[in-house]
Amino acid sequence: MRATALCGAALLLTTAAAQAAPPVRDPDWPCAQIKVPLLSIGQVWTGPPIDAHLTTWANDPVIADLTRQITQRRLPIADAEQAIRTFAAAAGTEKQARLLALAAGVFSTLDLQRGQVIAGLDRFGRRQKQLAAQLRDDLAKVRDTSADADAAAPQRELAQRLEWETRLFQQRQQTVSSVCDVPNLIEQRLYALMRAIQAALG
Amino acid sequence: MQVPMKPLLPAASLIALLLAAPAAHAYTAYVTNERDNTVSVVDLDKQAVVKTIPVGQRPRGIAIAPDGKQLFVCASDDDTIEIIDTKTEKVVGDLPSGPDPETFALAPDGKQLYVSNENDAMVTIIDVASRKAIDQIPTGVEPEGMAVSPDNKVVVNTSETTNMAHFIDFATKKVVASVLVPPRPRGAAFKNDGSEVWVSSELGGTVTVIDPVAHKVTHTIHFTVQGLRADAIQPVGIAFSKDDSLVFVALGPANRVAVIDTKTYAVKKYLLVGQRVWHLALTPDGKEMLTTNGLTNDVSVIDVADLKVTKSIQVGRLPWGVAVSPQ
Repeated sequence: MRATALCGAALLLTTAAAQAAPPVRDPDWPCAQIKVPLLSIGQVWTGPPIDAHLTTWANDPVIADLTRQITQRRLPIADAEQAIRTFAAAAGTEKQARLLALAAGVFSTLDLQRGQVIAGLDRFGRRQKQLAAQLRDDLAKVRDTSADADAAAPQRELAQRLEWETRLFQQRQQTVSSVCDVPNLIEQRLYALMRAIQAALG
Repeated sequence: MQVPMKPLLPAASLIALLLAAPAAHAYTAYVTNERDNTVSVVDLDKQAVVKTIPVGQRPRGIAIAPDGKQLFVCASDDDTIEIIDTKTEKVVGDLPSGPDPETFALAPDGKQLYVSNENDAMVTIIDVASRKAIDQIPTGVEPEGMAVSPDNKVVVNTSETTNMAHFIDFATKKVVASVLVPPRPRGAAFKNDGSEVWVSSELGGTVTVIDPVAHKVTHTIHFTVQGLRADAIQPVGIAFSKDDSLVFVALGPANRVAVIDTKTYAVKKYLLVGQRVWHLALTPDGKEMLTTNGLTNDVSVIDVADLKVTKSIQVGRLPWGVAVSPQ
């Protein structure tokens, strides 16, 4: 659970740094939406503080298991909401503490998951920029050597490479909007789960 | 012979009739659903979608004519602004918006429509009656938000890359002043009395108040929400209350609407609405403010007097803009 504990610690730091500088435009970011690298608990939660549970929720096997189940996107959200209600009903007098721990687990897990997607999108954006630069260079080389009869063979090779690079670039570009939607899907699930937990708190 | 008067209706029936009477308003809201390529028609009394109108691709900016008969919708990926007849609830024509129209402003009398063309740094003026572009005005790089003064003499356009609010004189069709604002200005709105222009900056996380005569910044409003990172606060939509005493600012992924007192320029309250709140519209009676929430696919209804969120109405996917019928 070291990774989870570290994630919890990082979350505590980011909560404390809630008043950090406003966002800046990341030149490598491939999506139309402004990049928000980490979520804030205040975006999805208006209930009692959950900070105390951020580093401990994973120590409870029931909470850890329920967190793992309900954060999986393949589980319909209605089933996840029902699972939260059942958990709340079974918690008895510890209902509040256990629900807050569950909220900490859900937030930590989905924020971590989203962070991994954001890091992947950063890599995607950087690679796409490199590809674009390579395309420009190769295109200039093809133009420069087009009048040189001695360079016919290397030019064919270059033109072939250019064609492959163009195809790869275009294929990747076509997937951008759907890939950029993944953080949104995670945020939607997080919001729905946190609302269900807050509703169960009463 | 005198016949004793019989009451027309027994008291119980009268009470039942009164209770069954329709609410004071029967407004209709229209919401563009960017992902569904539709406009949701929302009955605000029933608090439900009563019809879904298919429109062009990627509908975003929306406005309704002052008489409520026509609705204008940016179909961004079709490079046009569609006209919807509100009676038949069908697309009846389009306007020459130029490429990728995102948003626009309608003159208070409904005669002209001002469109920002992001790709060619122009503001296009369209005559609604003839459905023709009558002028193009060069402005800043990547023009974005648009607002028209209540007297229709000044048009304000924000430019995303140059970070400015450009003031265009309608009579001469020229930019008469440009005011620097924090990064990525998005929305602009005139106070109903025309004395101030408020501009939101999505990346700057602020709202700038500008004197539209002196073209000077008079106030800059910052937002702080407990437990929220600053980068989650991205102001976009701005709307004034009917009496100009309050301003409502949609804060994007903060999932909140900030309510600002226009006398003190202080934030009175942050209201939790749905996810990714972008745009706002006030009902004509001034009693309710509607917000579009892009990720929760709903419209939140704010009670303006109580400053409370009273309802959430599910609409289509990725709701973007909202307009309310004047009747």
